[in-house]
Amino acid sequence: MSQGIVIGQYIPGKSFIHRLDPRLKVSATVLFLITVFLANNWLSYAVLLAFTILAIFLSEVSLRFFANGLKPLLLLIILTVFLQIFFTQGEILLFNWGPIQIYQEGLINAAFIFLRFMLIIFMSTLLTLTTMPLEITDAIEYLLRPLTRIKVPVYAIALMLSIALRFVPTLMEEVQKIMNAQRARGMDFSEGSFIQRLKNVVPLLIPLFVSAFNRADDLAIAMESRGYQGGDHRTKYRQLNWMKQDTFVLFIYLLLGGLILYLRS
Amino acid sequence: MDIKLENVNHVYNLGTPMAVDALRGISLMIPQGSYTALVGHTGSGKSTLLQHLNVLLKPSSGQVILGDQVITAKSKDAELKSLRRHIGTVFQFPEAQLFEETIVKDVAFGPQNYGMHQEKAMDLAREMLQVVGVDEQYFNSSPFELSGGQQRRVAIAGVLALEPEVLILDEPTAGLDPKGQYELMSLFSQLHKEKKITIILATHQMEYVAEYADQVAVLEAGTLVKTGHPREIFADQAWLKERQLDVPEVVDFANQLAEGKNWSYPELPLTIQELSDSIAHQLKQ
Repeated sequence: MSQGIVIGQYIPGKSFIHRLDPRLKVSATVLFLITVFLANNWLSYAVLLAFTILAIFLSEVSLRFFANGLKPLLLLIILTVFLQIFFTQGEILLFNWGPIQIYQEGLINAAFIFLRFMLIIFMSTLLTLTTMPLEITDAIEYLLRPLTRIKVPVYAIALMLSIALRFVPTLMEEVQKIMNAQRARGMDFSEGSFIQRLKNVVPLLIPLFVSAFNRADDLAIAMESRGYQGGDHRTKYRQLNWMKQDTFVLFIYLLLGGLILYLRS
Repeated sequence: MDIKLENVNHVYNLGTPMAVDALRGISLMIPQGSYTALVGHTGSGKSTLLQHLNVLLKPSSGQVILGDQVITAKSKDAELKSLRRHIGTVFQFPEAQLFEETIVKDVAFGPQNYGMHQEKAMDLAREMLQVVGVDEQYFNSSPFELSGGQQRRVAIAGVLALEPEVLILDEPTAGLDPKGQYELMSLFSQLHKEKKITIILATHQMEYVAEYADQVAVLEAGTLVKTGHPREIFADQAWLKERQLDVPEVVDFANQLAEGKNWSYPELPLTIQELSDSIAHQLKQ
């Protein structure tokens, strides 16, 4: 049993957001991202923030998980915010100390950038928290389907994506197993210098590659022997159903986009 | 060293909605030099329990006592490494741990991790490879060139090279042919008898339990439901059936024979030898 390695961070639930069609969730998230970049004044940001809070509230997922989504990007956010504060030049000088000059425009820009980061991260985390990774792949496959006209192998890409996602937990389990076996042989993964830690990866990676290649071979043979063929006429185990509520939510997002366009200065 | 578990609980993913109770209130005594079998159907917590014995997992509550060391939820990871050295573990499909260029180097990996000099570790590796019955001509070949059965032996040699006092075996013979299975089990039994190594075996094969174990612990859904000598455990076939477990074929045969002939055994036969002796004895009367 793997120890709490959750891929795609999906948190099972039955909220309104969970039940929406993944195609809607993916396209609405993209729409929202575009909308965020349209906002450029306090009022528009306030509207977007209120909207995000409402969405998070509707998802019934604990705020803790959203905070977790923020963690890996925290450094990037802080860095960008500071760059904005110190290197924006404007008209109203607030603070002057030798080479450091802080303008009011800098502070405002920094606040906007910070808000923009928060909104984008929270909304995309909302997508991954409430949608199973495989549903997301299905949605992407559906949404990219027009590209088959220009000979983009959409089905193959979608299949690769879903196989990759499907095997992430399996590989994680494998990693855990191999780590346990090497730890039982006195290996210490958490100690030593940086170089030592790099070297420590070898007893982990080689067995992992060997087993991944074996698994890929087995899977290819299994698919081949059952006559797998991708493409248009293949039916799906997981059916996507577009409901009234999905149209409704899409409408709301379009409305939001329109509102922000109207509010921006 | 004696191994003692006192009211051990383990919860995976503690504090998330995915939390799973894997072990509940396990108390078990494994005396030095004993041969203990862990049985229970898939998902009953055998592997989780084994990982507590070699300190790869710490109990969520309760304590594991290895010799004079007490391990609780608060124990520091750094203290655990040295404990692990005396406890060798052969995991399920242990050949997944092989990675070195040659099998000798792979077997020497463990001892070197515990600070043994390379030359000495290589000598020990060659010795252990001979113990598990790998032919000398393969010593310098890559582990990935060997057959599955040979890889298994190399992996086991890699664990034996740690010269453990306690040997934990998690389904060590899964996927081997009958001859290979028999040879490995005899090897473990020999180590148990000659080197007085404590053996803890998790298995589904009741024949091995009957033949080698002197203590059986039955796990069900993370709780320990029965411990005792194989003869006590196998005496109640119906009880085991309810737990999706079975008695060894010898016991099944003996029970059916006894029913048909209205026999009773002074002592339940566990091996073919015991059964045939018992039948011969009854027939004489």
